[in-house]
Amino acid sequence: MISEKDLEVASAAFQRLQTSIAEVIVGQTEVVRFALIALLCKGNILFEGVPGLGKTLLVRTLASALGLKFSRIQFTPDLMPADIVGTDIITEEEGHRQFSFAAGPVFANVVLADEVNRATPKTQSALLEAMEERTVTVGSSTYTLEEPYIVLATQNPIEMEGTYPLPEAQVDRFLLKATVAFPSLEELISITERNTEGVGLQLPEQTASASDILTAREIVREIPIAAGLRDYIARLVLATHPENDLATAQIKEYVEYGGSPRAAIALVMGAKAHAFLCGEINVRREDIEAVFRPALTHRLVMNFRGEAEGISADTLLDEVWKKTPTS
Amino acid sequence: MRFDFSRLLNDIASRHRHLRGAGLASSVLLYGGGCALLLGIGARLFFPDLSSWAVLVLPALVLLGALAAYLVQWSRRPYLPSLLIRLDDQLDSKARISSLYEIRQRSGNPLIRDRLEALVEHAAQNWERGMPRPRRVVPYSSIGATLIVLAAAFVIIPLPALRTQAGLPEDSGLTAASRPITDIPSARQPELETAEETETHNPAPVLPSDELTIVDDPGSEGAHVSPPEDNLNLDSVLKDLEEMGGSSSSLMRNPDAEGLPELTEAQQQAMQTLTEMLSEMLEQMQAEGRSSLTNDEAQALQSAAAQTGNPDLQDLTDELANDAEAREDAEDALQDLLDEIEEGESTSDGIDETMEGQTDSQQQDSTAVEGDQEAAQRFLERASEELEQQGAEDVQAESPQDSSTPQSASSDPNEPSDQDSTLAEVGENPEEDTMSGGAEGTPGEDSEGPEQEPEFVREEAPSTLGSEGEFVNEFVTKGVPIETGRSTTGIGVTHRVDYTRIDSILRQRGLPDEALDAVKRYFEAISQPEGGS
Repeated sequence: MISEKDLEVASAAFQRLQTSIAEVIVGQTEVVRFALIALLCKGNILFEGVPGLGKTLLVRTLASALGLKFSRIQFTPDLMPADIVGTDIITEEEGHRQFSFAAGPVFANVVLADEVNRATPKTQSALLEAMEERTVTVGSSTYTLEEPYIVLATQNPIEMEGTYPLPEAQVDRFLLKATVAFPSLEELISITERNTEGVGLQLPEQTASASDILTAREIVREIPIAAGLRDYIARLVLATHPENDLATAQIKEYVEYGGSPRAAIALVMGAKAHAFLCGEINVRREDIEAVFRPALTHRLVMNFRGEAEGISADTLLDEVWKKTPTS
Repeated sequence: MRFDFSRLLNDIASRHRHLRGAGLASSVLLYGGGCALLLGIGARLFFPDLSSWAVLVLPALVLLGALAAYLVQWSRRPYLPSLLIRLDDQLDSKARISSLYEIRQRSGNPLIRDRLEALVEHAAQNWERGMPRPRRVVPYSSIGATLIVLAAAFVIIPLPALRTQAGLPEDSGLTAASRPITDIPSARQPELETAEETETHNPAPVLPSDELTIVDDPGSEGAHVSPPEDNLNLDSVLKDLEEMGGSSSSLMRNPDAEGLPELTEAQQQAMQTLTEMLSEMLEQMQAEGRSSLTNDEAQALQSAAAQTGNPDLQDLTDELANDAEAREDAEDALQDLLDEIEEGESTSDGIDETMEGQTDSQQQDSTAVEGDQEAAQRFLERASEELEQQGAEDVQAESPQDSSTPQSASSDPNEPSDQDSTLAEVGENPEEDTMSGGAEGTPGEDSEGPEQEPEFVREEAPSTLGSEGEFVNEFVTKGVPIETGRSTTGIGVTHRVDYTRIDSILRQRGLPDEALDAVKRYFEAISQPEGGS
């Protein structure tokens, strides 16, 4: 049971966290917030954007501000699963040879899976267990990952040659998918200033602890959501299914599969975390709206016609949001 | 004072139930009121016999339906989560009310619950603003109530006024019921109240006396039928008779089914006149030893036949009037004509047809007439007797003169008319006329010319119509002493005319024997079917 002090401490910690990240990352306020939401919801997040937009810097900044163990995995086509999760190696100690487990980079609190779509599906699947169950199984041994744990993956949408699109099962395990947009003029000027003058870019000091994150996670789960809003979320998810009566005309035309139950969970939890970050103690409609697209955009599977015509999932979701009745 | 969220929930639910009930009740009022009005109009126009109370049930049912709809909606418990989130949206309270409800339902974190209660207490101060009354409630209720009032008023408003507005014919039964009582002499008012009730149930026997129309049309051979008037009564008939003066008059009937008895009697009267005329002509031709018919006699026959309304007789008389060869040997034709009249087949057939038509029309026009056909028949028989008596007067007055038709008799301005003669007789013997109470005027004045105003006497004879009750039978006499007595069956009243009294009156006038014989034959003829009068 959380106390009022816990509530205040956690709220203050995340306010400081947002502020310290904003001192390093110019702009990208929403992306940072989505990363924190994923952290609060015990989820993972997929960043999508062209190279050079600061995705890796964002993850490193977050890990630094949280004072957590950070690891970075650069996904390449020849990357093997053992390179990620680790492997048993033969060691000799006092004349005795034995197998000992050499943990891979997945054993950290904040894991950056950079350009995750460049690895083969076999290697990509090595992350599945870590992302969902927070465990890693090597041989006959299963290792539990330390909390707080979060995987932040990035992928490049324009450089598709030699890439392996993430399988639906793995995509669905990302709580949110955030699109990192190109900075505006003012943001770009600020970025050049911070990186080219003085001592250069400095990662922030730790402003929040792991316990703050765990407490905040507990608070987020306690945040109430009205039954009417829960119903609304369910209708929103059902509206993305082409076979459902709530589906819009475009959904029926271009979508093959809609959002999974994980999408509804992601919406509820994401709305709660968003409300927490906004200093609210209950979920509002605007909280749902804030996480609606990032929670569903990577879960819509286009049909052939949608792929051929290049229909954007965000466009379809905008229509769903507008046409689904609120009550 | 601590914020009571439970009380707020009760208030919200109560208001929601009230608004929901009001909304449904207003819709029921609107559409039900419209239906009630339409059904009320239809019932009043197409089912006039339907009781007003039965029609008033419709608006009452609508009101009850609206009340029931309100109570049903009131009794249904609202689904609070949906209601509260809508209220939050209306109040823009960031879903706090519904979140507080949720956290209370789930026994959530008390820290968050208390904080939410503090926020909701502020946001819910004007919570009724978030549950406004549906816009349709007031207009729907107003229009619906207006329609219900209109429907009720439509039932209460008397039907004749509605029919006048709708341009529809009035119902006979209701017309009889709404007929002004001023038509009846005030001296008989207590008795007539009972008779009025009888008329309401049996309107057919009453209407003939009301719609009997007396017209004077000197410009034509016959008389036309004037349209029936609702306020026509005996006084107006008397006034019309007085205005006719010495000119010929005819008692005609309304061609409507309700006036058929009078029409039949008028035809019988004309037939009797024609019979008398034919008999006189044959006797005169035999006395003079000729078989040809003069042009004047043929035209007189043509006029008399036109009064009968019998097309066969008219054809025969037309042939005599227009064909000179036929007039040369007319004795046989006249005899055939007389035989045909005596057979009376054509006349009786016409009477039967008109009687049947009257019965049919009565059945169609008013359900109150059903079952009273016998009473109506008895009334018609009595009316026939009255008119026969009037016909006897005419013959009595015409017989001393040489002219063959009333028209020809009245065409001579130097001679008093038949009506004037009769009135003069009554004036000379006022004490003998026990029934009429005497007539005004003197013989000297009557003989001064056709401008002399005729005098008529209104007779009132209490009668009974079957077992239904008493009524007053009113008619006009022209100096004929009529005696009224109780019938042998004990039901109804008989009217008798004593020929010996008539004969004494005529002899005092110094009429020739031929005329006295004609009057006597007439009385014998009219008394044969009934066994004497």
